[in-house]
Amino acid sequence: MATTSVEAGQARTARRIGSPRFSFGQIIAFLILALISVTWIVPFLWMLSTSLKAPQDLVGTNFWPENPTLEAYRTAFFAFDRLPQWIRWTANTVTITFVAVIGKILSTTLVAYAFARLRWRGRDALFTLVLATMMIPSVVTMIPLFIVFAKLPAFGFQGSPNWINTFLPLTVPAFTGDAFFIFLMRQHMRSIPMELSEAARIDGAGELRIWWNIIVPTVKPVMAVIAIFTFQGAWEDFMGPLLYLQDEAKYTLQLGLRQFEAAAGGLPAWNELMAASLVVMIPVILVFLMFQKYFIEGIQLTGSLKG
Amino acid sequence: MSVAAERPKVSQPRPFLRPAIKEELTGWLFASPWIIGFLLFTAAPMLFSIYASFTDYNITTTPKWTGVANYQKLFRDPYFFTSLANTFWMVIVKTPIVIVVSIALALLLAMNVPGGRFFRTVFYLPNVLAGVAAVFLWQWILAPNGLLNQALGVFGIEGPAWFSNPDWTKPGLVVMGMWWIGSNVLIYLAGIKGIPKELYEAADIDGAVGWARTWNITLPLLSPTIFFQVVTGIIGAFQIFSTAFIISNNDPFFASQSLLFYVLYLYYRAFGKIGPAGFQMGYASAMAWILFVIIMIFTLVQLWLSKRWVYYESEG
Amino acid sequence: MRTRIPSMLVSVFMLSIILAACGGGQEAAAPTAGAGAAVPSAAPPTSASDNASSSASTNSNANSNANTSSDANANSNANASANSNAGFTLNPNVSGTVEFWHFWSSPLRRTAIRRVISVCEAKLPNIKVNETPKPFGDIWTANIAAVAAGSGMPDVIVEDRPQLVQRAKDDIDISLGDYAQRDGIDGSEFWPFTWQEATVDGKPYGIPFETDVRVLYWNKQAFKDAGLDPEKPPKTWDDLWAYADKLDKKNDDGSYARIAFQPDFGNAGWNVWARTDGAQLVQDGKPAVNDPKMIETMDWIKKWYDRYGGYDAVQKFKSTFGAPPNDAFMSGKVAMILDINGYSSVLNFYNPKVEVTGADGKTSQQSLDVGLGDPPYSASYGKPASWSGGFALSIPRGAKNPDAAWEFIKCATGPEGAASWSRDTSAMSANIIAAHDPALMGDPRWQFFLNAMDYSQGTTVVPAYPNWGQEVDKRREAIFKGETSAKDALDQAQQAINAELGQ
Repeated sequence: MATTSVEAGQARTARRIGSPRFSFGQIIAFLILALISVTWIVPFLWMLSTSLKAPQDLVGTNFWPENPTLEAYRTAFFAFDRLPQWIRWTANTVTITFVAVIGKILSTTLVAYAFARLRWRGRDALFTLVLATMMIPSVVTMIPLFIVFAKLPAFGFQGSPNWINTFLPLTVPAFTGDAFFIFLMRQHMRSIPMELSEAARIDGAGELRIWWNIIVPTVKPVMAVIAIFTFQGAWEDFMGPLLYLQDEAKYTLQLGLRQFEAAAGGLPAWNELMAASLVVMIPVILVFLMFQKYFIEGIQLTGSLKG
Repeated sequence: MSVAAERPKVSQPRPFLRPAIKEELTGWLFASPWIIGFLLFTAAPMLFSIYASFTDYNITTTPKWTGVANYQKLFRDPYFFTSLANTFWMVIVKTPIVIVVSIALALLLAMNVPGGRFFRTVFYLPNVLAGVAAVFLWQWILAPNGLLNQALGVFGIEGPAWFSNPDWTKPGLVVMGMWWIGSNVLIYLAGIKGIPKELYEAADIDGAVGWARTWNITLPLLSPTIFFQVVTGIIGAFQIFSTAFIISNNDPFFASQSLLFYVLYLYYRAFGKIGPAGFQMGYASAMAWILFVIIMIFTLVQLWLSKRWVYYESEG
Repeated sequence: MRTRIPSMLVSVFMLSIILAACGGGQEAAAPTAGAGAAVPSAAPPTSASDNASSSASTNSNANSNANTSSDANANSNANASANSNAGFTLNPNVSGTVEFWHFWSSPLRRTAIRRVISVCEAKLPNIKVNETPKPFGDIWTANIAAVAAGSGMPDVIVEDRPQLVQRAKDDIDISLGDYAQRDGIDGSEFWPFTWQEATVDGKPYGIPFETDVRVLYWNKQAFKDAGLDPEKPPKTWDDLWAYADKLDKKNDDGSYARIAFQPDFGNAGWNVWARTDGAQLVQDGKPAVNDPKMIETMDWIKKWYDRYGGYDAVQKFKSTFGAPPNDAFMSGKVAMILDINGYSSVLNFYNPKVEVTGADGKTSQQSLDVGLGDPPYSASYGKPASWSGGFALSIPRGAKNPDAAWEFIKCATGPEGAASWSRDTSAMSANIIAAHDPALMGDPRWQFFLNAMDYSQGTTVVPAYPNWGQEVDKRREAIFKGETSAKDALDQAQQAINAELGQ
C-alpha cells in the first residue's frame, strides 16, 4: 500500500505532464475490483445458464448448456395449468406493493410535516418516541401483532371476519408511517426555509395546502427513495405473507415460488426453479437499474444520517 | 422544548387565541397516522406480549397466569441455548468478516478507479434481491456439487456439503451473506468521502503515506460508521428468519438444528413445531422479551463504547 | 420522467386489478378450483402411459357415478366384504363450499386429488370443493395459525394421523365422533391401525384417508449387469450386504457410479429398519428408543454410511440426485431402495429409460425394469416387517361449513373416493373396501402391496409425547458421523423422552 501511494504520487506528477490518466495504484485497485465484481455477477449468469439447461445437463460441470432450451420456462410457467396461478400471484404482489408504496409515501410526508414544520405541544417528546421505536426489533411484536390482526374486524373483506387471510396486515400498517423514513423526511423538510410557509400562511393558505403545494414538491427525491425501498421490501417480503395469507389465490409471488419448489417434494428441478426465480427477480432488477441513483443515494443517506 | 420557547409569541396580545389552538390541533392531526399506528401496531402488541409472557396462552383459550414460569422454563430449555449459540455464532463470525471485507472494498472504490460507478452498481445489485428467489439461487450454488464446490475443485479443494452438513450450514450462510455486503460498502464509501480533504493534506505535510494515512486518518474517522454497522449487524443476526426458514424447509431439526436461530425457534414454539405441548404464545412472548432485552443491552453497550472509543471529528 | 413514472405505476396497478378480477373475483373462476377442467391438461410430461391405471380410473369413475355405492361393495373381494359400507351413504342435499388443504402439490398427486374431488362433486351436487396445496412443512403451522386467528382455516385438512392426539388436545380439529356415530361409521371399514391412530379417547378426530407400506424396489438391469439373478431380491440384511459387494460400481476416478443401497434413501429411516430388526419402539405405552434392537439398527445404518465413505460423502452423493425422473433410483445411481407403494405410480408416471448393453455389445434404450420385494430383515428377527404411515381428513375448529366438509370427507375416504386416489397414486387406501377395488386387484404389484400390509405396522401413538421421534432424529447425524456411539446417543434420547413424560 505504501508503495502504491508513492506510485500514486509519481503518477500524479506524471499526469500533470499529460501521459497516463490513472495511477498505478488505481490500476491495481481497478483490477482487484474487476475480479471481485465478476464473482458478484457470476451467480446471476449461473441462474440464467441453469434455467436454460435440460435436466440431464444439470449434473455436468459445464457452465453454459451445450444445447440451450427454454423448456424449463415452459414447464415452470405453462405446464400443469400453472399460468393462471402465476398471473394471480403477480397481480396480488403488484396490488400489495402498490398500496404499500402509496401508503408509506403519504403517511411519512404527512407525519414528517408535523414534526418538521408545525409547532405543537408534545412534539419533541413524540419525536423521541419515533426514534425509539427504530430500536424495537420487528420480531418482538411478531406474535402479538398476529393476535392483534386476528382481533381486528375485516367485515368480510376478502371473505374474512378479521384481518388474517387478507391483504390488510400487509398494506394498512404502511399508512402509519415508518420511523426511519419519518426521520429521513423530517431532516429534509427542516432544510426548507420557514419563510416559504410563513408567506403562504399570510396569504391564507391552510396547512394541508402548504404541505401539498410547497413541501411535497420539494421533497420528491426523498419520496422516491422511500418509494423504491418500500417497493423492494413489499415485493420480497416472505415472512409477512407467510404469517398472514392462507388461500392460494391470495398468495404473493414469494409464497408462490416456495409453493412451486414444494411441488417437487424436496428435490427441486433446479432448471425450473431457477427459471421461476429469475422471472420473479426481474421486476426488482429492472426497478433497480432504472432508479439506481435513488437506491444508492438512499443507502448513503442511511449511512451518513446514522453514522 | 421549542414549544416552550415559542410560547411568548403566542401570548403576545392578539385578538383571539384560536390560531395557536388550531396549530396545536393541526400538528396532532398530521402526526396522527403514526400515533394510531404506534398505539395499534406497536404499543398494544408489546404491552400484550409482556402480559402474555407471564401466562400460559394459546390464543383460543384465555391466558392463564403462571408468573415467571415461562422464563424459568426457558433457562432450562436446551433448544433455547442451541438457538442462542447459533445466533451468537453468526454475530461473532459474520460481523467482523463483513466489516473487514466491506471496508476493504470501500477503500478500493474510494481510489476513484475507472468504472467506479459500474462497480458500485454491481456490488449493490444483490441488495435489492432479498426474497425467496435469491435463497434458492444460493442453495443451488452451494449444493454439494454446485458451482462453488466445482470452482473450489479447480484449485484441488474438496468443498463441503454446505447446506446439509451441520458443521457447514452456518459457514454457508456467511459465504452467501457476502453477496449482500454492497449496502455496507456504500455506507463506508459515503463515510470515507465525507472525510475532509484538509485532514489528508495535513497528513501529507507530515509525510504520512498509503497505509499510514488509512490507518491514522480514514479508519478513526470511519469509526462511528463502523460502530453503527456493528450494532445493525448484531440486530440483524438476531432477526435471521426467512433465509434459514427456507433452507431448512420449515423443519426444526434440519441439519442437527444447526440453523435453529433465535427467531426461528420463537416461531416454531409459537406455532407448535417444537415441544410436546402444542403452540405456546406465552412461551414465545417470553422469548420475544428476552430478545428485546438482549438487543437493548447490545445497543446500550455499543453506545457507551462508542462514546469512549469512537473518534469524533470535534474531538480532534 | 417524473410525470411518467406515477402514470406507469398506475397503469400497472390497474392492469393487476383487472387480472385479479378475471382470475378469481368469483370463487368459481379461481384457477385452482376447477377439478374437472384441470384433469385433461394435467397429462404426464412423458408420453409414456401410466395410463393403464389412469384410463381405467376414468372408466370406473363413470361407472361408480352411475352405480350406487352398494354395487361397488358387491364387487370387492371376500376379505373386504365382511365390512359394512353403509356409513358412507352420502347426503346430496347438503350444500356449501369446502376449502380443502393438502400437501399433494406434485403434478401427479395434484391431478389425482382433483380427480377425487370431481368424483365427490358429482355425487354431492350442492357442494363445491376448493383445493389448496401447501408445502408439507407449512400446512399444519398455517392451519394452527388460522384456527387460532379464527379466520382463513380450511373446512377440511389432511392431518398426519399420529399428530391428531395433539390436535385434539390443542382444540385445533373438532371431534368427528358425533358425525361418525350418526352415519354409522365405526372404524371397521378401515385398516385397524389407521383407525386407532385417528382416535383420541374413543373419538375419531380424523377419518383415515390413505396409508402406505414400505417395500424394496430393485433395478433388474443393474442386477443383471452385476451378475446377480434379476428375479431374486435380497431377503435379509446380510443378503443386502453381500449383494452390495457385486452391485457397487466405481468410476475411473474412484467415485461411485452406482451404489447398491443406502438405508436412509427412498422413503425410509430408522423407524422402518428398527421394525425389520424386531424392535418394539413403544413398550408399555412408553417409547423405548434405547432398546438393544434399536441400538443394533442404528449401528447397522451407520455401517452403510461407512461403507460409502461416511455420512458427508453420502450426502454429497445424494446431492447429485434430482427431482423425478432424476432421483436416486430412476437415475440408476442406487440399485435398491426402500420406498412406499405410491412410488410405483411415480415410476409409471415417468417411465424412466435405461441404457442397456446387450450380449452383442450393442447398447439400447429400455424401460427401467423394476422388481418388488419385502424389506430385508435381520437374521435374528427372521421375517419381513414394514411400517405404514399415512394421513386422515379432519375438520379444523371454526370451519365455515362443517356439514359439507363431513360429506366430502365421507366421500373421499369412502369406497369410491379412496379407490380413485389409490388408482391414480398407488397409495394404499385406508378404506379396506377401496383397497380391494377391482381395478386395483388386476395389478399383480397391488396384490404384493396388500400382502405387505399383513406384516406392516402402524405407529403406536404416545399421547403424552407424540413427537418423541424428534429425540432420535436430533441425534441421528451424530451417530452416523461417528461422533457418538449409538448407545450413548439413544440413552440420551431416552432420558430426554423420560424427562418430557415427567418421569
